[in-house]
Order: sequence, then structure tokens, then C-alpha cells
Amino acid sequence: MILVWMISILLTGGLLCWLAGRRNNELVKWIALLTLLVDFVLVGNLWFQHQGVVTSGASTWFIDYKINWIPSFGISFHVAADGLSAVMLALTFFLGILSVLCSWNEITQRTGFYYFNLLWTLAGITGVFVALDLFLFYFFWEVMLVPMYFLIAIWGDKNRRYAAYKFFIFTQAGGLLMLISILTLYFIHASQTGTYSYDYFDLLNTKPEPSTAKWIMMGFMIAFVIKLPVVPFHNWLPDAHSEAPTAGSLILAGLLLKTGAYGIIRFVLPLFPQASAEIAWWAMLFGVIGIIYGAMLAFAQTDVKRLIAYTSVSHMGFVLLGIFAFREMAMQGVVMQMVTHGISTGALFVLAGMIKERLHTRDIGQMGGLWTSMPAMGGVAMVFTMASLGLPALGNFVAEFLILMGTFFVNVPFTVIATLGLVFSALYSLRLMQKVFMGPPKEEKHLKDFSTRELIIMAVLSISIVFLGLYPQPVMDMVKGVVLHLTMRS
Amino acid sequence: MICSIIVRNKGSFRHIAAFGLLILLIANILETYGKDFFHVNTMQLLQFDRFGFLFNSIALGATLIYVLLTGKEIEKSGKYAAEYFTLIFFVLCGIFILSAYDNLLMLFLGIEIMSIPLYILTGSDKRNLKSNEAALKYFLMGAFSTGLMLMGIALMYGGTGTFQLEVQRISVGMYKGVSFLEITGLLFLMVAMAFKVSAAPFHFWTPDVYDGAPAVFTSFMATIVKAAAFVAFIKLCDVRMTATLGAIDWKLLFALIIVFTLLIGNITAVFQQSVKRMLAYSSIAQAGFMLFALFNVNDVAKEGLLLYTAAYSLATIGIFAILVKMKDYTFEGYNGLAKTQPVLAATNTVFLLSLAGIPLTAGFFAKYYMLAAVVKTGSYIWLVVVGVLFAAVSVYYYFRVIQAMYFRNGNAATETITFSFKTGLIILAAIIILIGILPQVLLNWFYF
Amino acid sequence: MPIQYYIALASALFCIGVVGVLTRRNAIIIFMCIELMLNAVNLLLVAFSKMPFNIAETGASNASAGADAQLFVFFIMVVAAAEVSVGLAIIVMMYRNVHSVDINFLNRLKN
Repeated sequence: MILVWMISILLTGGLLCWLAGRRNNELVKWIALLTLLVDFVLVGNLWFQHQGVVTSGASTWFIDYKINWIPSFGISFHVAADGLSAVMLALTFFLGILSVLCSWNEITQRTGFYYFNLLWTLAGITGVFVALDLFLFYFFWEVMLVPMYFLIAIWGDKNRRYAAYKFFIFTQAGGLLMLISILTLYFIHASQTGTYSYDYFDLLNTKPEPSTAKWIMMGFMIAFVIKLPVVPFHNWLPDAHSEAPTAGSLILAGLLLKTGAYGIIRFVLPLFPQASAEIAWWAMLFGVIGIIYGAMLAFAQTDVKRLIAYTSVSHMGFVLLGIFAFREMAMQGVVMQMVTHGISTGALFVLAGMIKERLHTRDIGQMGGLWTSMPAMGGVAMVFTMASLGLPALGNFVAEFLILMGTFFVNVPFTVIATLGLVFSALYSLRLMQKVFMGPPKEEKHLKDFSTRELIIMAVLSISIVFLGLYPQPVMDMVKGVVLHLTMRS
Repeated sequence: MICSIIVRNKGSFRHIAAFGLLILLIANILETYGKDFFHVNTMQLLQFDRFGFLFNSIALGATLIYVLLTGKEIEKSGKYAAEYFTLIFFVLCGIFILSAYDNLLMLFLGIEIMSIPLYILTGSDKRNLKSNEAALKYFLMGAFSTGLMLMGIALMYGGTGTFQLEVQRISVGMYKGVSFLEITGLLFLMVAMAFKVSAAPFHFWTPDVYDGAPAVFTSFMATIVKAAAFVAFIKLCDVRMTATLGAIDWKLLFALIIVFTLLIGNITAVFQQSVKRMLAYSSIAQAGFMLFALFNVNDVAKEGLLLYTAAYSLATIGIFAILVKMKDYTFEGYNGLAKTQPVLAATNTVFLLSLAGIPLTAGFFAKYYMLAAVVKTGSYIWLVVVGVLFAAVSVYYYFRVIQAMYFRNGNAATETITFSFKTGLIILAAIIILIGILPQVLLNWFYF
Repeated sequence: MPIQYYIALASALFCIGVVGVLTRRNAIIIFMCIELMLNAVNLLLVAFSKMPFNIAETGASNASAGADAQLFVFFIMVVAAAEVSVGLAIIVMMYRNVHSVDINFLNRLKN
């Protein structure tokens, strides 16, 4: 029930924002913030309550709530949480709070509608992370798209409409293909057992023919892989990320991409263990291609936000690589990567947004020497670029190290190439730092350093990334049961 | 048991029309639940089943909303407002026959009763050349397709010796009692029906007619009338085509038509400049989706068609009701509508999202049913994939309107909007969302 | 006379009608061609009513078997008359506005 509350709090919060937006813009921000804080507290509560249960490893699902929705089709409102969901939920609300904070002053037009969209996107994402009915899952999957579309298309940059369209049509196409797969699975299940059900646990027992299973899985995979994104389908990402408002980029990079990874872990692997084992080699290949390709393109960009967007492609390659290694260690790494990438890349986007607020450009060529005028920002940027290139003691290092370790047992050549990817990441990260913060200042202008609000955002982000780098144990414990369960099955 | 109780309103007030519709709707719903008012021996010409009743309810309900929302516009569109209402009632009468026909004679009569008043409605704007042209085109095409249909019926009669829909088949002859004449006849009939539902490659009249006719009547034509043609078509498919499946591969034929229809409807809709014309093409595209129901007639498909009819009709009526109020029918005309008329823009967004099939709206479940009906067969999955990809394309042109309303600056000029009109739109949007969240509401009737 | 002759005649008339509709440019002539199609159907129906094509299959051999087809013919005539009245009205309306019945004028909607 607590999960239902989380979603409905977000939804009503969004509506309230919209209504309040007509009268008072200040009030709206506080409502949004409060909504997310309440949800965050709820998740925190959930986390501490169930920590013991999870580590004992008896049952991985600690909350399970189900009511009928459309019984004649076996569609139910089934939400549940296990360690993985809990981690993702915590990340969602954490980044949600930050996204509200970082758009505090940025958004001046139609504030109410903006926060409405923001909260509804988050509600969709929350739903995706907890839905255990495939139909419901698809439902939330789509629900998060429309508000996100609005976020990009209304409050984005110059090229926003094109970017919003591209984002929407790519993901919509993927989502519909997934719907076909869900339907096929549903009917196969019905013909095998005689009952119509979309329930995750029912469908787990469905055994489609290996050849059909492959096709069904491809439908799921395409949807998730577009979201992730993996190289041939990454096209929408740089546009969407660079055009979106700061909070939009933060949510896109920090959360929306994770829904793809989450989908693969939650649905593709358990539903199609055999078929996914068959494509493992290819998936890892694409992961590696993504790592190298993303890094190389990131190196070539002159637009700060695009650069960061391509680093996401590169980092998500690690996720794909790790998932299809089918090793406990790699899987732990994947979850860590999801969390830390969400934080570090999110932080970079926020930084880019702040720089843009001050310089009104995203072009690296027009920046330089910002450290002298803004030492605090430079320092924080340093932390996160280092995190992005995988410096030890920061969260990303743990994640990437675990993934590479896990993969090493499975496929040595891929691991070696992926490690090379890390070298590339050092290249683009350092280039970013050098061009933006080092060197002679381009123009003599007095630039304000962090305001208190910005400082709070950055401090929270920095502390969390360092904390995760030094002591990743809480996250690892949380997902341990799930990971064990997954890797044992396959 | 006959339910085509014709209320011939000669009174010129739309209130009478609305009231009559309401009474009809109530009567119809009561009859659905088995309360007969009077019995008429239909000599096996008509047969009323739950499917037909439900469809009638939806058609009546949609018309009621249509009259309530755009009744004023109908009155404005010409001198003979009362006659227009009467003609609409005639059309409804034809629709009831179509939803219940059991005999090819009745199919023919139903189609004609439905079409002839429409020719007049299309041309009702007498001084407008566009309207004239649309009427003439519609008339010529309609009469031509009637000719084809009659030829089909005649040939089928030659093949089977009866006009009844159900044929007692004795397995002699070539294909289990299916003769060459019947197949040819069915092909003719199919072409004629494809004309009526504007499926490619017989769609070419649609954009011109929908564009040329006065917008109020386009709304009626594109929704309820089209859906009725589909209901007639599905009955035909259900009985005759399923029976002759051994002789000719209808499925492949339908698959080709569907792909064609989706392709032409969606791709051309992308390039339109006028919202009205875009809606005409999008209605072709939507027809492509409705054809999925005919592809494999089963319970899911029938239910789906009903839901699709409801979702599509309600949304389209809403969009047209707003369109009628606009001064400029191009996309530019919608620029900045969100600023000048926030209620109109918001409800229009709901309607457009429903047409695009986004969850939380009725359109999503409608599309879902259509896909499910085909997926259920297990074959022709490629067709579903094609359909889905085109659904993604359709997002583009529906969102263009949303973009114009919300993201572009402009001064969208509208006629004066009354409070009751706004309330009507809000209720309509609420219904769409309600069906989108709980499709049970509508479908429980089906299961009873 | 075998039924095939009737079928052939009706088909020929029908085809002439279809070709006429597709090729002619005068609204009145198109209209006449449509009438021709309808009459071809009438002819065919009457023929079928008296000589069922395949009695063995349908078992319809009693005397009143063809009555429904003849009835149908009457319906077609009635409906065709209704169509004529509406259609001619539309054509006249058109003629009043453009002083022509050539359907090549019908291209205003294209752009």
C-alpha cells in the first residue's frame, strides 16, 4: 500500500501544483518540494524497515500489493518492491528533490504546469520501478513519456521541438513493440494454462517455444535498449539531453535511462532466461561498442551538454555489458553504476545548466578559465568529472570495477576493450575540465559563484557520490537478494 | 422487436432533437437488458443481438453529444436547420438497420438510407463551391460503390440462391459449397464496403469530401457513419467471409488493405497544412486500425470495434466541435490557443492524445484491443508491427496540433465560446479519460 | 437459353458502366453509367430468380424461390429513383454555381 501512496502523492502533488500555479508561483515550488520530500521519507522508512529482511535473503519481495483493475483480462494493479526497486525508488526521489531545487529559479514561465509535468514524470518512473503487472508496467512506461515530452518541448532550448519529437517517437515506437511482445506472451500463457493474466509471477512460468521466445524477447529488448540507449538506437539521446531544461536533463540522464536497465534486469532476464543467454554475446558486443563509441563522440563534442550526453551512452554500455555477463559481481556493479551514474551525470548536467545560466552558451569554445572566477564550482566540477572517469574513492569507480571484474570471468577480450574505454573517458573528462575551467579566461566578466541553493544541491550530490565510493555496502546489501536470485536462475 | 423508432422532428429546435435522442438512448438501453416494447415480425430480415444494441447505444450517445455540442452550428449552417436534424435522424435510422441486418437486402437498404441524406448534408452549404464539389464527388463515388455492391449481392445470390446472411452449406461442388460466383460477389461487396469505410486503395474520395463538407457534418460523417459502415462490414466478415476462408485467402487480402490504408493515411496526414484535412487523412489511418478487427473476427475484435468506435467517435466529435469554433482551419490558426482559450486547448489535447492512443485515454485501450485481436491469432505478427510503427508516426501529426496550441505564439481567433460549450467539452474529455482508466464501464455491458 | 448468356450480358453492361464512370468527364454521363450498372444488376437478379444457377447446391427448387430476388429488383429501382433525385439536385446546384457539369472543374479541394 505504501507504494500506491507514493505514486498517488506524486500525482496529487502534481495536480495541486497545476492548480496553485495560477495564483502563486512560490507556493508551487514548495508544494513540489514537499511532495518529493514526503516520498523520500517514505522510501527511507521502507529501506530501514526492511533492511534486515532483505539481507537474510528469504524472500526478495518485501512489499506486495495487488488489487483487480480489469479482471476480465487478468489485468491487475499489482505493485511490489524488492531491493532493486527500493534502490531505484530512493534514487528517483533523491534526484527528484534535486531537480525541483535546480529548477527553482530557472523556470519562470508557467511554473505550475512545469511542476505538474515534473511530478507526473516522476510518478510514471516510480510506477515503472514497482509495477509487477506487465500491462501496468507498459501503462506507466507510457505515462512517463508525455509529461517528459512537454518538459522538453516547452521549457527546452532553441531546438526543443525537434528534440522532443525525436525523443517521443523513438521511445513510443519501442514501447509499442514491447506491447506486442507483452500481448504475445499473454496469449501464449493463456493457451498454456487457460487463464488470462498479465501478472509477472504468472508469466514467469510461461515457457514459450525457444524460437518464439527469442522474438518476444526482442520486442522487450528493443524498447529497453532504446531507453538505455545502446548504440544504434542512441540517436535521440544527445538531442533530448542537450535541449531539455536542466531538471529535464537530470531526470533523463539520472532516471529515464535507468528504466531501460531496470527493465532488462527485471523482465528480460527472468522471463527469457534461455533466450537472453543466447544473445548475451551480442548484447555484450553492443555494450562494448557503446562504451568506445560514446566515449569517442563525447571527445569530439563542442557543446557541453551534448558531451555529457555522450558520456551517458558510454556509461550505459557498461551497464549492458555487466547485465549480460550473468555474474553476481557484475550485476552488483550494474546496480551501483545505475545509482552512481545517476548522481554523477546528473550533477554534471546541473553544472552545465548553471554555467549556461551565467554565460548563456553551451559552447565549450566560448568558455575557459572559469576556475578563477568560480573556484567552488570548479572544485565541484572536478569531483564529478573525476567520478565520471572512474577515479577510485568515488562511486563510479566501484561500479565500473565490479562490472569489469565480473565480465573478466566471462569474456576477456571484451573486458580489455571496455577497460580501454576508461582511458577514453579520462580523455574526454580531462578535456572538459581543461577547456571549461582551466586556461586563460575568455572574457573578463564577473561571474557569480554558487548561491546557497546551488551550494546545497552540489554539496548533497558530492557527499553522496563520495559516500558511495567509500562505503557502497548499503546499496549492495539491499540488492544482494535480487542479484543472487537472478544469477542463480541463469 | 424493432428499435429503429424513428423520431421525425420537424421542430426546428435542437432541444427537441436532443430530447428525442435521449429517449431513444434510454429505450435502446432498456431493450438491451431485455425489456421489449413491441414486437415486429422482421421476417428474418433483421436480427437484433447484443452487439448491435450496444453499437446503437454508442451511436446514439455519440450523436447526442454531437447534437449538444454542435447543435448551434447546425442551425447556423443554413436556412433549413430543421431539415438537417431530420436528415441526421434518417442517417441514424440507416445505421440501426446496418447494425442489425441479417439479409443482404437490408444491408443494401441500410447503406442507402444512411448515404443519401449524407449526400445532401455534404452539399448543404449551397453557395460554397467546395461544398458543392464535395457533394458531387461524394455522390458519384457513393453511387458507384452502390453499383458495385449490388453487383456483388446479385452474384452472391446467383451463387447461393438466397439473400440471407447465413447460408446452409451443402458440401458439394468445388470448395465445400462455395461457388465461383459467390466469391466474385464477395469481392465486389468487399470493394464496395472498403469504399464506405474509406480503406485504401478506395479512400481517394475521403479527404476531398471531408474537407469540402461543412465541418459540423464532417464530424458526423467521419465518426458515427463510418463506424456504422464498419459494423456492417464486420458482420459480413463474421459470417460470409469466415465461411469462405477455404476458397480465398481473405486474411492476406485484408492484411494488404490494412498496410496500404495505414501507409497512405499516416504518411499523407503528416504533410497536411490544414487541420481539417489532416483529420480527414487521420480518419483514413484510424480506419486502418479498425480494419484490424475485421482481419480476424472474434470476440475480442468485436468488443474492440465497439470500444474503438466509442473512443474514436467521442474524440473526433470533440475535436471537430472545437474546429468549428476556430476561424482558421490551418495549423497556424491554432497557434497560441492555450493562451486565449485554455479550456479548449486542454480538452483538445485530451482528444488528440486519445486519437494517438496514449495511455490514460480511451484511444489507448481501443488500439490495444485491435492489436490484441490480431496477436491472438498467433500469425501475421508482422502486420501488428507495421500497425504499431504507424501508430508511432501518427503521434507526429496529432502532436503538431498540440504544439501549435501550446508552444507557438499566436493569436488563435475563435468565435465566442459559451460556458455550456466548455462544460460539454470537459464532460466529454472526462468520459474519454474514464474509459481510458476503466474500460470495464463500457464493456461490462458486453459481458452483462 | 442457358443462364450463362444472361450472366455474360449483365457483366458486359456492368463493365460498360464501370468503364464509363472511370473515363468520362461529364457528370451527367457518369451518372447515366451508374444507372447502367444498376440496371445490369437488375437484369442479373431477374435472370437468377427464374433460373437458379446451381439448384443442386442450394436446394431452392420450388416455384416461389426466386421471389426475393424480384423483390430486390423493386427495391433497387426505388432506391435508384431516390438517388437520381438527390443526385440531379446536386448536379443542378453545381451547374448554377459554375455553369458546367464537367467534373474537371472539381479540383478546388486539391490545394
